[in-house]
Amino acid sequence: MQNIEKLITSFLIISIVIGIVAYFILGFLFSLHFIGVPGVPASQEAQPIIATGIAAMAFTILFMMYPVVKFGVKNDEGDDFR
Amino acid sequence: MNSKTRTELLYVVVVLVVLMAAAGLNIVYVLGHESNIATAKDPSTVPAGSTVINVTGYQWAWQFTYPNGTSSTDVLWVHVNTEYTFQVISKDVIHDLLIPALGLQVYAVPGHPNQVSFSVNKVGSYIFECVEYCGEDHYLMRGTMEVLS
Ligand SMILES: [Cu+2]
Repeated sequence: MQNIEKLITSFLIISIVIGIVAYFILGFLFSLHFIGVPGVPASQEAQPIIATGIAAMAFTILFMMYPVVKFGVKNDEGDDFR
Repeated sequence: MNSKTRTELLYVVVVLVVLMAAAGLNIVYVLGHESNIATAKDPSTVPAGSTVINVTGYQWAWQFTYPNGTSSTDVLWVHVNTEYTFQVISKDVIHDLLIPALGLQVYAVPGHPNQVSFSVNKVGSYIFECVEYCGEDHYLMRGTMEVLS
């Protein structure tokens, strides 16, 4: 694979790891907050959905911001598209 | 296929995989969703063994009437690990009862009783409040749910 392909694949892997970590952190936080039905089952259903959302957010931020941070114009003349 | 095309394809495939995974999980969630959601009051759908509590919202307090005829205002007394069913009505304008710790929310609508079931598995004191703006003292429509052993 080329470097750019490795890069994007690593974004995907990083975001999946972030999603899995977020899943367990959410489970812990929900268990502190919810104390009965329907809160507990509803939060358990929502947990993977929210974790997926966080993973998608992480992927989007990496995907969109990496080229800007890496190749963006870093002088202070004119408009800075960062 | 040159390397630029391959890179472009990889972009498309990776984004599609992420989006499809999100969409798939959402479909599973929506189709499998059977948690207690407030519905129109219907005595025939009260779960067996569930204790019915009548809730009346009015400007600006919540009144809870228990099966033995007693009632309490701005404080809700329940027992742990017991199933309850709220039948919620309003005397004047629309109110909305929220118990954050239970993830329970039910509208109090004049002339349209709503019903929702819940149970608590931890002793303690938890807040509830009105989350539908209902007049100048809306902020006073709050209280605590006291869970007894
Ligand atoms: Cu109100």
